[in-house]
Amino acid sequence: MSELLKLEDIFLSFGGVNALSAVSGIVNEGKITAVIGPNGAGKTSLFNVISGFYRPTGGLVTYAGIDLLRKPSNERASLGIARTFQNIALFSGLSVLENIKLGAHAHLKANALTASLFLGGPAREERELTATIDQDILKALGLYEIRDRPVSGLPYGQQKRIELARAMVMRPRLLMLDEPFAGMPQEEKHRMADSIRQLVSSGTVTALLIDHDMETVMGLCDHIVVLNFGKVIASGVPEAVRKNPEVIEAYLGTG
Amino acid sequence: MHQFIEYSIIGIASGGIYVLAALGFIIIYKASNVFNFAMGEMMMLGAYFFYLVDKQLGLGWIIGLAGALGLSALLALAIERGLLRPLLGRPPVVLVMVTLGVGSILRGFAGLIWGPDVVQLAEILPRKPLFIGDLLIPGKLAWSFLWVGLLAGAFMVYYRFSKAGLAIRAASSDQATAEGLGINIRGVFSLTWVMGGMLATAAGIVAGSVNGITPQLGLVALNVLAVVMFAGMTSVGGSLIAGLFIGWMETIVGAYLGAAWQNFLPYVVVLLMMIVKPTGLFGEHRIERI
Amino acid sequence: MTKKSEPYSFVALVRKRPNSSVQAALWVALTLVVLVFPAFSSVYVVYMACLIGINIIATVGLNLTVGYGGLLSIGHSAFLGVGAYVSGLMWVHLGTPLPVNIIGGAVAAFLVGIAFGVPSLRIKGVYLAIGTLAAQYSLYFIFQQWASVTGGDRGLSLPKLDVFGMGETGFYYVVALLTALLLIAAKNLFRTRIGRAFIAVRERDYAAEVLGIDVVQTKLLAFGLGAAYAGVAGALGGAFLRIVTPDQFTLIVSVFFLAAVVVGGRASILGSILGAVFMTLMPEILQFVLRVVSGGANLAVVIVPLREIIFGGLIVGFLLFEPRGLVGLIERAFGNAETFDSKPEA
Repeated sequence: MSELLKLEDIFLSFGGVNALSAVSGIVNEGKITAVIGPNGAGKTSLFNVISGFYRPTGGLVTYAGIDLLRKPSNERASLGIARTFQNIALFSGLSVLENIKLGAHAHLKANALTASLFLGGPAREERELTATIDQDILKALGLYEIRDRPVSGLPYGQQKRIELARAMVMRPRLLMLDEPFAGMPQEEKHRMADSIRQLVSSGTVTALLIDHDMETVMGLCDHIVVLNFGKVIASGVPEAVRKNPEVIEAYLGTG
Repeated sequence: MHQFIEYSIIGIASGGIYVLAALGFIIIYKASNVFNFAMGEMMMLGAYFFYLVDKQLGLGWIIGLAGALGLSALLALAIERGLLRPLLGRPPVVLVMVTLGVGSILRGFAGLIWGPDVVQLAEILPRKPLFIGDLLIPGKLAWSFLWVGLLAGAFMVYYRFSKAGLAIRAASSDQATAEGLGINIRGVFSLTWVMGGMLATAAGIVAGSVNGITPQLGLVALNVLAVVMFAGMTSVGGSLIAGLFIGWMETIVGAYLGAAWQNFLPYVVVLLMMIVKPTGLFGEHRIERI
Repeated sequence: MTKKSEPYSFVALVRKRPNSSVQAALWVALTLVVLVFPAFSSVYVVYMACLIGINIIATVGLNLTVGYGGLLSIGHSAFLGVGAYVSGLMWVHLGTPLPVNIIGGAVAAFLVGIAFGVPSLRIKGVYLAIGTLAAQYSLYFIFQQWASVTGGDRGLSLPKLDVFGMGETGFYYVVALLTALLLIAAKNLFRTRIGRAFIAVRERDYAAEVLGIDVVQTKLLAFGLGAAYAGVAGALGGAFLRIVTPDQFTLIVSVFFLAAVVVGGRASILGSILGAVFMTLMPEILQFVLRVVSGGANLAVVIVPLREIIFGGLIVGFLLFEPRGLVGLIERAFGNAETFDSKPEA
């Protein structure tokens, strides 16, 4: 079982506030790992460190043997890391299909000159991309009917699925999901969890997710890391973490 | 050497106008993050308001001053409340475009009402040159610098020590927390615009007293841009130093390299600062949280 | 920007949709009108048509930067100037034919745009606007002061151009052709990843980064392309008016194009066309109205200030009340009242 992502002693502070302290953890290839913890525990900050948006004051992030902190944040895509956002980062000026197509940005070849002519190369790659998305993704996630609609105004659950679709088009090796179940009714949560499980069991994707919903997370994940006040307070298989007294305290006590 | 010192003093004195205008600009940006492209036109219109009340209505310069400040405060308030407040949620590009449009409108109105020719303001600054030792300083400049100094000083005192000034600084540093502490953010916005408008008027009147006013007076605001970039868009204290320095540098360049280079200098400064240190010498780096 | 596929959406009607015979018929009709109309019109009308075409090109360029790219550019007219001077100088000193001069102008404008863009775009916020203002005045300074090359305030005089031996009408066809090509090129960008990247960077640049988009490069491209389009427009304008002077490229001209983008509709090719037509005709209509109202009194003093008020007023008015511009008004008339500028979280 190989380590895909390794975090070692990550420290992050914002003007005196310690957002993360000595955070370490391993995400194994082919598994589903979750980072949980009460609000403000530092989960999204951790994601932002991995994404390259925040520079940690200390620590190492290794991805497939590469020192990730040395890479600019827009290189993550070509390295095979995809990520969704807590408050849904879809682009309202584009349709559902166009938003999803953006996932393939790093794989497409068109440049300004060839694009403006739109003959040959760009036309073909757009056609192929649309076909792939239609067949493999839109139908699987139930988005085919709304494919040409603008994304603004669509229901929350659908928007979350569109964001997932876009992440899938990136053909990622590591899929980072920030609160994929937030704000969903139980039934949609099951469907989302199923989609994630299917992706991972297809063999090419490793999932790392953040969420609040203990039940869904416990049922879905192979490995859980618990953060509180920026520190790791527990880490292991769901059954063990669930029984950990510190974890219980963090959620029921002051959290 | 003697000439150099004379030029330097003249430069610093003319920099005083920049200081006032820069203060007005910075205070607005600091609180509401709006880049007020209409600043120059507010200066210009403030000077015209003074002309209107003082000479055209014949009420004398004291009432003229009060009138100008009052009218420009109203104008600033109208702009902030009427045009910018409704656009609060929009991307910053939109707000800036609106100030650009407002500047154009103000310029047009000034041109319509008062025509394109130069208008001389009342002689509130004595013309008699001042002598420091055997250095000659034009009277108007010297007195304008004095007035600028007083106004800037008064403003700084108010900013540092009043409750309102504290509110502005709090709002600029962390809006959410300030609001949580009970500070009326919208009130702060309005206040900073009013202050900005009044500072612009003061700067405009002083500038106009030296050279006369035209609807194009606002173009000097572009030099103020150099000051603001140099100081840093959020540094109230820095604008004092930057304004005087830029004023000094412009005069020296103009004296030794000619008027064309003097006009060109501000943009060189702006571009240079953007490459080297975009937040300016004293500005703060505003962290963006995702 | 794709709208809901309502059957009566005007914009959808005009947009290229495959397999629509109504669509095709409209395009054929439009092409015919454009090709044939000089034969039935006066010299003045053909003149205005050329002007409109040139302004459409410049407006589309600015829309790429401001509308699609979300970057505020206040120095657009300076890039027109670069295109005009470079192509004019090429003609005068090198004797090269018009197409070569136009390309020269466009490339020069692109490079100058990138040169000012690089320092301004690395940093967030309003710095690009400041950089473009610096460009506006620095370039004006150069146009005016480098008299040995540019002719200073007197400007550059260009010889008469005779295209295909058809004189004025020949030039009209050149303008019409270029306008059509550049409009199609711009539209094509948004069928590919390039255009999508513009919009992504405009709306949420951190999300764009995650998708592998190089934000700074994308902004530079949006800015440089806009400048290049301006360069073409400037080159055409110079050949059209046969004189290039610094006063053709001032701040108010930049504001004119900004108004055209805002009035027509940001991030819309159709909007760029509508805005350019509106703004080109507006001064003519204004002059007509003034003449009627004032009965021949001295208009000169009043025209410039009035124009400033109207330009500024249009920008402010549309941003406040119809952020989608004329395109938005049309959509609204057809019942589609979507907003454009709402921040995604709002």
